[in-house]
Amino acid sequence: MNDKHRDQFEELFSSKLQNFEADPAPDDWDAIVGRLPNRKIVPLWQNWRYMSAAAAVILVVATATFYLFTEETMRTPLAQQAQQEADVYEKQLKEEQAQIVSIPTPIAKIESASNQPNAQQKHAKSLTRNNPGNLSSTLQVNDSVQIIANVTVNQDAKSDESAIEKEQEERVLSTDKAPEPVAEKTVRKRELFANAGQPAKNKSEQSSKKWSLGLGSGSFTAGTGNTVNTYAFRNSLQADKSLMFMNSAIINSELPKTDIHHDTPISFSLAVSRQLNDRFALQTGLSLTLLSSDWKTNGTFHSKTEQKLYFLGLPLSVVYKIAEWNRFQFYTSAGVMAEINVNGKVKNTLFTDGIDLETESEKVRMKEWLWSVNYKAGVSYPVFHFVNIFAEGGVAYFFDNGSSIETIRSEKPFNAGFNVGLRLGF
Amino acid sequence: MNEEQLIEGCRKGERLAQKELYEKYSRKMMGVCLRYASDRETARDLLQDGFVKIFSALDSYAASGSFEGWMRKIFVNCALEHLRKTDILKDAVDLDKTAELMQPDASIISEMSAADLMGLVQELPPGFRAVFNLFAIEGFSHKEIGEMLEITESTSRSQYTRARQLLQRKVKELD
Repeated sequence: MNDKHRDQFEELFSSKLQNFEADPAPDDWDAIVGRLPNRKIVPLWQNWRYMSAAAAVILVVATATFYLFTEETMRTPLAQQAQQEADVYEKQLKEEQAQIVSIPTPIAKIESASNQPNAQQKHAKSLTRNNPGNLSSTLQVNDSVQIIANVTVNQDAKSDESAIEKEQEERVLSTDKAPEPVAEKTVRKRELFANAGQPAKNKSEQSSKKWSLGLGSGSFTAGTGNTVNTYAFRNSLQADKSLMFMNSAIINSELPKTDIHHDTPISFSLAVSRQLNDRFALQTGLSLTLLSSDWKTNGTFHSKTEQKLYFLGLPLSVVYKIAEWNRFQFYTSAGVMAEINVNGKVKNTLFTDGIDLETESEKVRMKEWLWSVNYKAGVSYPVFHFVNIFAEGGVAYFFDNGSSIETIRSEKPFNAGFNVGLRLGF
Repeated sequence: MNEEQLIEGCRKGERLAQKELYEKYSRKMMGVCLRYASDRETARDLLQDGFVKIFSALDSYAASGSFEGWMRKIFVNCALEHLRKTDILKDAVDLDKTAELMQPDASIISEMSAADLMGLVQELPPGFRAVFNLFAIEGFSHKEIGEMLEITESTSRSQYTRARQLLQRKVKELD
């Protein structure tokens, strides 16, 4: 532009004509439309944006469905290992008990022996008066101890119904004959573990936590549960054997079983993104994730191990804007995340009949980094200025980092999730 | 729909977005076309050519500058292309040399309406009109105008001088 030679004459013309407007003819638009090419209709299956969005949705749904329907049958390597160990131990125990049974022992003799209170029973007698309410619940414990030989015989008979009925009659008889010492002994056990906590919940009372809403940028991710037919503490085979030994003396004890449950991960994250161009953006941030798991065994003596691990994560992903409609932005993203375990705790409690006998806790930390890749598709909406609310679904795969600590990540390395939250700057 | 959404819709060939864009800018662009055309029918042709070109070339719009400015350039180019096709840029006009001495009162021009001034400009020979528009209204230099019209800089300068003389005469006649 050259304004050097513009004078008043030119300025006057320019100011009046620069923004001069005039109505076009009514049929001008029709003439324009007649010259425009018809809009090319691309079949839906040829539009890769719709195809990628559809693929993402199918992937999410298929993955979620697969894991929801198969989680009950899944087993962890640790649980399998524990079960093998327990099978060997159980076999040894049966052999030992068979040797005991081979020596004929009249029931009456056992019962008479049980009627002779020992020193412990004397001690417990005084406590029973203070805790009469626990009598009925503890009778079974003593019962089982008394007729251990019969239990073994009956088990060897393998589901002989008449033998079972006989055994039940004997249990009633023995209970009637020796109620007081039984109560005393049981109450003493309670006294020994005076710092009893809350009784363990029955499985039926536990809430089914398949889905849950996270905080902030929290997540819905399917949790998981397993049942293993053996005692399997989190990582202590010695404890498994001890528990097996304690319960082996209990009549009618159920087959050893451990319920393993990994809670839905709860995560909170802050994300920031930088626009690379009209379509692509780079996104990163920080996330804090809690992975909770518990192991519960059955039987008169049972245990509960709770594990809580906190992970700090650094995600990095590339976001592609698929479409925009009325300020809603539909996007898909692919990325990687590195997480490190910053804190963790394991609490192990041993119970009998709702009373905790022993509690121990220790700090644990997974030293290995946890790497994962993810693919997401979602929608965001600007709440104000540069803050967007978003909802996204996706899948993630967590690589095996070689850690011996079991989490939902090691059991379900491939999972589907749904996130909602706020994001800055998209 | 904001301008960005409008442009995106036009890029996708959405007819509603194209219609909205046309309704938003057609009056302004018609004004541009009238300045370069000698009559309304020619201006309508230029308007239609311009919008067809706009809708076809939207992918080349970089979204970094003013969209309206980009549209104006398209319409000016359409007008110049039309002038080149009709080969009327080099039309010579004999002027009365005494016209150079005529200096109309600026107050007369300032009192005239835009439509009246537009009428005067439209009466200019096509070549003069184009140079006058490009220099006085659009603000291009004679060098730039020479490149745009494929004429020399001095030719642009002389054509502008003659265009101005003609306008001054016409204004004087109205006085």
